[in-house]
Amino acid sequence: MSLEIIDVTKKLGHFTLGPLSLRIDKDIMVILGPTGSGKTTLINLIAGIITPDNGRIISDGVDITNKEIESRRIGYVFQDPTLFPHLNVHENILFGLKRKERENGETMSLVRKIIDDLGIAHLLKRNIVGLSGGEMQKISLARMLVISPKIILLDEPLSHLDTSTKDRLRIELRGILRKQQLPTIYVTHFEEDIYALSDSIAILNNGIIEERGNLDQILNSYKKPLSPSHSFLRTVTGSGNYISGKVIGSKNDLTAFKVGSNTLFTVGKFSSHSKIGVMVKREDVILSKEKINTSARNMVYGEVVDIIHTSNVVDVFLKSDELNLVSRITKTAAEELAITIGENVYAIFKASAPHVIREEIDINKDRVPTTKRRNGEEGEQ
Amino acid sequence: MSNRNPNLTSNRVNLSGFKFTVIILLSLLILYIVYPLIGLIFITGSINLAEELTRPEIINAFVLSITTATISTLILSIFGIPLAYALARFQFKFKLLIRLVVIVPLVLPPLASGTILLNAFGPYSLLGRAIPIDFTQSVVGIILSQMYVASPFIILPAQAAFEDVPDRYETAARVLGKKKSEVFFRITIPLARTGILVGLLMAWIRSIGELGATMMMSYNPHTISIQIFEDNAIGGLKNTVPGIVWLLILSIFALTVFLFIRRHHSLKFGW
Repeated sequence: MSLEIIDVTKKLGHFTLGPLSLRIDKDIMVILGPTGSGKTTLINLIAGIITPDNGRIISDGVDITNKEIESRRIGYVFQDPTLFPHLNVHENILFGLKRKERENGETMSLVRKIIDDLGIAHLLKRNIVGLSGGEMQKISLARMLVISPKIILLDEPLSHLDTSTKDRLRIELRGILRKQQLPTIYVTHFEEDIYALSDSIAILNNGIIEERGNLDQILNSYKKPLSPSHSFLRTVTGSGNYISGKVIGSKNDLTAFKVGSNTLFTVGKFSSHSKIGVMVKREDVILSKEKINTSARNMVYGEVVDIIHTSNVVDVFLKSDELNLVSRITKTAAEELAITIGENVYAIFKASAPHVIREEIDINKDRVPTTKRRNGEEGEQ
Repeated sequence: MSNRNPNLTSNRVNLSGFKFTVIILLSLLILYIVYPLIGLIFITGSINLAEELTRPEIINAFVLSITTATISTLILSIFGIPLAYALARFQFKFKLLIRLVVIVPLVLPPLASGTILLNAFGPYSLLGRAIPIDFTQSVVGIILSQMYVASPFIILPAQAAFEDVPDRYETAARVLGKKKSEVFFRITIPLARTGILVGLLMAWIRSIGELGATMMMSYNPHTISIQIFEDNAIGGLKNTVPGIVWLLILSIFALTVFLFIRRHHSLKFGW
């Protein structure tokens, strides 16, 4: 399965998308861009909702540029759930199936599995009215998956959800999407989505892809302030530190994970050998020139590689082996500490500061992660 | 308390004043509608209502009105609903002109509509001479008149209902592999159902009550409106009571259907 976009352009009023070329195999590409950059236009072109002025769209080796929407087999999850209000949950899920498929035992057992994987079996007889936002998006996902799509497109599917639902669904979503082994495009402007879901990232700005790469490549590239897309990415990724590492063990609801030679701690239990990705707010990282005795679990000794002064705060960039950290301190604190580039300092943060947003149980096996959440928080039921 | 917050007090006074005005206006309007009906009760007391209600010409006229109105509404729905959908969803040349044409029967007095219909379908008209059908003084004439005056009552509510269905539902259905025609019948029509049903009901009621155009096109056979007109001319007000009572019974039935449609819809969709 693959999706190829070749030199596609589309003019809509004063806005022009492209010329744009992309190739996605069985991975999740997160397309990131500011409002009006052409993200939705791009996925609407792939879905056939609009047709390109030039260029070709190839799905699995077949040119689908001029194919009707209904014959493209696209799994599309819209920003609004778009569940049909006159049908109940089960009817919505089965909507895309033909009568013959509904009578086919194999298809129906696949449907059952999708419903079970998403944990929505208890909702099947419910009306759409009265469902929560998270439930609606899970049903949208199920409805899209049952048609066995060739390509998956997701247009900011979490944007209308509250923070806690968003966090829960985001972790589940990667497992569900990885399991499909399909070319997947996920459009977003949320920082956490990039870290939590992407195999690769494309930065779209003014209708043009300005940057492409995997997470590490993009994060390393944005540190050099060059093009407008860098400044956009800097804004999006400006609030936190994304750290990923391998879990080495859990004890007393505290998990240790390794990032290069550094061992860090986070709250919650995660399987050993799994890989987790966490976000730490810049404001949560404090700096000290000396080693101090503190209740905080995480202490990293690193070199100051950059100091950026903004209007009322100072961002201090540290590097310690494979770990990059940014600490945001006040101007007064920066003056008192008198930190200079090249010197070594301690960066300290509590085990409750890292916010786990990505978990991969076993990189070689594809399965939905069974995360044991913090504070005994249950999945949405 | 009121000394501390004079704004609150003045708001309360204004609100009461507003409520009072609304109640007065509402009461006057209701009284205006009900007063003639009260008069009807007094007249009814002086006749044998049961006998009058079953008078053959009354029953025949009432049945004829209901039958022709039902046929007119069905024919109108076949042409009117697709037209309403086109007006709501498609952009095309002369769309504004078509929108204007659609409301012409609403603006024209029914008698004037009847006159131009007679001119178009009468025995000496081009169509009347070309086609061997009695367009006037016949059931066909009644249906033609009803359809003409009732057409906006189907098209306009259906158009508004289609416009209210967000097109993202249709797009989502097509992405899920459904053809345009299937999307129309499985998504658009069910979601626009309330507006369409209300339009059908209004067109049906309008057709039953039709007088002006029918009078010009087809005075005979008598519809219930023409029967009431004639009964009044021959025997005065007393004579019209059974026809009016039948129409009142029908209006109660129509109102019940209307309320049922609205209630069912709001329960199902929460709109």
